[in-house]
Amino acid sequence: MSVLADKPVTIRPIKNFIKSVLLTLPMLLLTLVLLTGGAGFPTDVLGLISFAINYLLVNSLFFMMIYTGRTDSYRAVLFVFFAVCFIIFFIGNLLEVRGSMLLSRENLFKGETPFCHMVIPMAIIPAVLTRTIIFPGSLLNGFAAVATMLIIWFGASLILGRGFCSWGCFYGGLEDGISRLRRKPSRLKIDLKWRYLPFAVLLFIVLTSAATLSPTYCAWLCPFKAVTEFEPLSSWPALIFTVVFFSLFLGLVIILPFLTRRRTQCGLFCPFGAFQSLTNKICSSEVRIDPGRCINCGRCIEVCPTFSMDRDSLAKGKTTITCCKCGKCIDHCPRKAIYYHTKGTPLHHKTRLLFLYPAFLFLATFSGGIIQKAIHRVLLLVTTGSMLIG
Amino acid sequence: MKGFLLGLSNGVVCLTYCAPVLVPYFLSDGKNAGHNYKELFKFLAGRLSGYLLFGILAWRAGRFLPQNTSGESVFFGVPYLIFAGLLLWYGFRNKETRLCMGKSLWFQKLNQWSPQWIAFFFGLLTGLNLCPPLLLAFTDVTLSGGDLWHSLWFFFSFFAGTAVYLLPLPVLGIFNQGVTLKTIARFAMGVTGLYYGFLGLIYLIRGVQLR
Ligand code: SF4
Ligand code: SF4
Repeated sequence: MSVLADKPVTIRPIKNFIKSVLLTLPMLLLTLVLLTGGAGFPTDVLGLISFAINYLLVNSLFFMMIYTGRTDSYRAVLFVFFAVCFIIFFIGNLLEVRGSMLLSRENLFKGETPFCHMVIPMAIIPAVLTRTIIFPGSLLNGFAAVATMLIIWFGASLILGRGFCSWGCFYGGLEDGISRLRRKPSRLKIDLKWRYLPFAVLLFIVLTSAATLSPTYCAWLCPFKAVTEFEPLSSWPALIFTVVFFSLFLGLVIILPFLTRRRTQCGLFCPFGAFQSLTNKICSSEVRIDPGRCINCGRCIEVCPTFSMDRDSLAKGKTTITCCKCGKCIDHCPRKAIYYHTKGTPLHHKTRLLFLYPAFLFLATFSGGIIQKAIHRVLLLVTTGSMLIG
Repeated sequence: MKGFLLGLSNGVVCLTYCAPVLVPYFLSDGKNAGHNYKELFKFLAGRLSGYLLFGILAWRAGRFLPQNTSGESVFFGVPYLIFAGLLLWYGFRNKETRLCMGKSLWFQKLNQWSPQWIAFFFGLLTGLNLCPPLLLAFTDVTLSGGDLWHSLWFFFSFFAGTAVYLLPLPVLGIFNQGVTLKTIARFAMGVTGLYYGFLGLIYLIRGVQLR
């Protein structure tokens, strides 16, 4: 054990109220600019109320992160809220555009669906292999919109790596929320070999998407079809697909997260998560452990929602490649031995801010428009009885 | 010559159709490129058998394919299901990926069984896969209305044209380091098995509906 471990460790979270306010000021300004899109405040009353709720929520959460020194609990509030709002927003949109949540295979293969980040590995890798771009997403707004999405994703990956899955994914919040409903996990043990499955699914969808020139994951395996859009049950194959979507959703997003307190879809199935894990190798941020401080209590292994910490990685002072930088282990470590670390800087809790600002700003702006629109729809529902706009 | 050129011009598509089986297979064994080439030849032998079977069908049944009959759906559905079973077994039989430890002797024996010619069966069953280039070849033969030898020769030369594209794949053996990639590849075989299982089921259901 190192000399450091024998000393009493005192980490001082930024408790000073004024200091926290000062550190929140840049976020207040940046979110104001980004959430208004530079176009001024919404002019209608409901729009203005939605904006105000979102703006206050986002900045209070950031303030609390700074003030308490805890990351995951406050991140999760926004992340879960984002996922719920996404579903309200998305279903509302579908009802407006198509009149129902139903989606035919024809819609899917014609790309008449909104662009979703899940398809990035299916688009990029087959594009390199076959020089054909498979876009199971709407190009109706022009290639510029898709290109913008890809640039945002690329930029976010350079800074966050797989942090995207805890600070940007609009689905992850669902299971993150459900995994927090129980106080203690059940005794159900999941064999760690299943951590390899997302990489296998990734390999499978890349190869089959290239073979069939169709988005295999969206067509066959996406659990979130259950809460976004699905095929009309007019044939046996459609029934089989629907059973697959709903079983995956129930098993991986509801039942297992509830029982195990883990994000099982993200940790054991999602091919986008696997793809995003690879970007952890090139991004500037990481989560590191100071072996000198660590007392090997195993609390971090217990709480990690994506199975990204094990005895081997702990001994090496690292997480595994799949860490999504949620900060849960950092919050729970009794010795404060885990750090948000920016590569090339010394291990120090102050460098947390170097990760926190871009990560939180990304979550706030990526979720901002969707949260606002969802609140707007709910307000409309309450005041007019319909959540459809126009 | 026409079959060879058709194979050559459509071989990339064949590569992408065989890759979901061959890539995980080569990675899952953890063997070197030399061993993988032996396996590729077994695979190709199986695939050639599948193609020759198609050659016989194309000559015998004439307009068999475009008719979308119940028998035809069953003809393709059953091999898909067998293929699915084989891939699932192969993917999940190793201790790294085994779904349950299975105490019964029968189960353990099945898991230890390592047939030398599994690659042949993978090739045969992939050969019976209705991929677009094969459909093209099939249509060509049925429309030209030649005799059995013409049909077999056409499918043989078509096979030779497409096989060229599979030759680089065994080189994947150079990545065979450590258990991680092997485990991922075995899981991928299992997932591919499930995919073929779905396809088989859909074919069979269609067959029953057509009846
Ligand atoms: S929770 Fe902290 S002290 Fe405990 S094993 Fe993890 S890093 Fe070490
Ligand atoms: S290792 Fe820590 S930061 Fe990474 S995913 Fe697990 S709990 Fe979150």
